[in-house]
Amino acid sequence: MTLRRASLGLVAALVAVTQLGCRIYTLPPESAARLNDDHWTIEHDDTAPAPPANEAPPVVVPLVPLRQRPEVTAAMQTPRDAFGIPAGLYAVDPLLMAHRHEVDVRARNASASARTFFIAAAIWGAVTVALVATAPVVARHAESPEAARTLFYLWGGITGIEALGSAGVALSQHADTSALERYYRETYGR
Amino acid sequence: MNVRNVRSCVRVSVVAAAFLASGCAWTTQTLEPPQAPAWYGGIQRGAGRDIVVVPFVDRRKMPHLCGIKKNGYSQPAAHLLCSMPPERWLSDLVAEGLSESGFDVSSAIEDAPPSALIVSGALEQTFVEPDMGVFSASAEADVWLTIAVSNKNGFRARRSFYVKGSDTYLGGIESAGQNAFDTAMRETVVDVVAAVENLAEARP
Repeated sequence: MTLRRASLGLVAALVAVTQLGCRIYTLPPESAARLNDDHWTIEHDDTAPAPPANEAPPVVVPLVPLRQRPEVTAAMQTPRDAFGIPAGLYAVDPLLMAHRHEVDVRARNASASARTFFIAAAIWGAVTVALVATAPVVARHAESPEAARTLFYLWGGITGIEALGSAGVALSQHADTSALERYYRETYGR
Repeated sequence: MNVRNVRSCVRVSVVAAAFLASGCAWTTQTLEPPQAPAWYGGIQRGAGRDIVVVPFVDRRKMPHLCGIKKNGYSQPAAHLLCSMPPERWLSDLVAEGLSESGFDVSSAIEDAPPSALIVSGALEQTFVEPDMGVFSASAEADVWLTIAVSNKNGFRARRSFYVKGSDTYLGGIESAGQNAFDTAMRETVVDVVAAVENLAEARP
């Protein structure tokens, strides 16, 4: 009876700890990507009214396309980095560098989380080993050895699952680089 | 270990597990403005061209909230507030980014020449929410901004930006929520500035 209650209690606790939540207000990444346009939608194109004959046309500074600038052409020949972007391009394109900076921030956050979860995995693993190792000793001194041993093994199993789960979370941490790659494709047509 | 001890052990374990599951998610937190993105020297594509950045408008469904905290049962438990309107942060930072890129930025439409691009935006969503997993939780921050670019000659273009920031955490959501929020807001600004530059370049 005690063993049954203990098992039920532990299962209830495990269910409470591992409650799977769902997003209420935020969107899953695939839905978010659909709302993140990769180009402008031109709703109305301008046809500037012709100025009167006696007036000079307004002076509009034309912008030299980035990819036609000589320094960019030279930078495009430099070796590519892990994202497939010529490494020399960062020095001439401030927005590419700003995107890269954001990727680095995301990577730092991801590696900090990974470290935390590796430590958690190690602690859970140590607790698992301790529980499993002490179960026979505790059972020897208990009035109901079977119940005591089962309880320790049950907790050992739960903490073992936590250890594996934490290690999995640590290994799954990564930085989202899609904004950097999208900017490179959009700006340089690659 | 007798039966009574085993029972006590189980009770303590269940209470401890329930405490862990509930978390400390009950206090309201205020999110601070993100730092400006890091703008680096290099080619200034703006070349002194006039551009107008109109302060963005707020179209969020819950303008009083910037996010929520959840308890261990994935139920909303406390509010996350913004220390100032997020649409203001975004329009200020976009204006700053375009200025850093060499554009002559102003906020007065009346004085702008007919060819000057006018950038306006509507903030549809900015929300931080924990996504509770089996072994971990992630603070997720969504920023959804629609940008309209026009000029007095009748040109009109529109684009939607939806950026997610996230930070996985083990303990409290406080710093993870702020990290996710900062990342999403800064990346939105960089995305918008880059897209406006590309549009300006394509429209001499």
